[in-house]
Amino acid sequence: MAGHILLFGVVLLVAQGLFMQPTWSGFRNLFAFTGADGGSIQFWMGVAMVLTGLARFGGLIVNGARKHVTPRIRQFSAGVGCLIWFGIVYGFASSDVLSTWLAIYPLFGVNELVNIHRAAHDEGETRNGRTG
Amino acid sequence: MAELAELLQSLPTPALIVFAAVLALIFGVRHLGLLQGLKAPAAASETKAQVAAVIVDPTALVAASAEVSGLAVAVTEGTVALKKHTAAMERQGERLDALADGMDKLRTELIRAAAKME
Repeated sequence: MAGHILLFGVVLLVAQGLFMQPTWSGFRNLFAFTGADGGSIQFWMGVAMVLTGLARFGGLIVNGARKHVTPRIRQFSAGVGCLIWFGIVYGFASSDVLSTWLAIYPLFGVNELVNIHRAAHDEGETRNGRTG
Repeated sequence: MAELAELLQSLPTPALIVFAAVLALIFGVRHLGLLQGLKAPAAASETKAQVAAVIVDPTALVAASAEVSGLAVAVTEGTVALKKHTAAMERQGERLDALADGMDKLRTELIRAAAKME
């Protein structure tokens, strides 16, 4: 999931003029309050997603190195991921263009929910003294 | 605060609703996971449980040790019997050899006696 977010951001940064396409009009409308044009919105969303992806990779590395404190890190990063994926789903949905996004991003969001549940389950077990 | 309210008003209402719903879903799932984790049965570690049982009640361990001692005695006895048997077989072999020698000599004597009679 960290890789998905990171690559999504990279694609936004690389593919110039992507937000000008009708499929992405929902994203322009969503961030219209910033007063920025489509290109700027695309650029800053790309930057934000690359940074988030890198942060999630950092979280994964910490998760590999330490065992006991990380369920919260995992929950937080999966929560941020969930918001991002459902935000993307909203952006596409509000563009009123039905495309393959419907087969991909909603399931990513659900996957993040599963991750949150799993991490919270681990935290509950640790609190209960059942593991470690 | 006024700026925040302005910002919220400038956002499309469905976006706010979706945002709130996803946020609620996230916290709901987290809460559910925490509760389930708290209620989760002890980690599936049968070896640990068995070791703990042996420490609490060592009867089975003592009985098993006694069985192993008995088995060792039986194996030792078996080895002794096998050694005796091997020695007996060796002796038997020697006597058979002697018997064969005697029969060879007897045959030679018979041939010699037959030659004299002719």
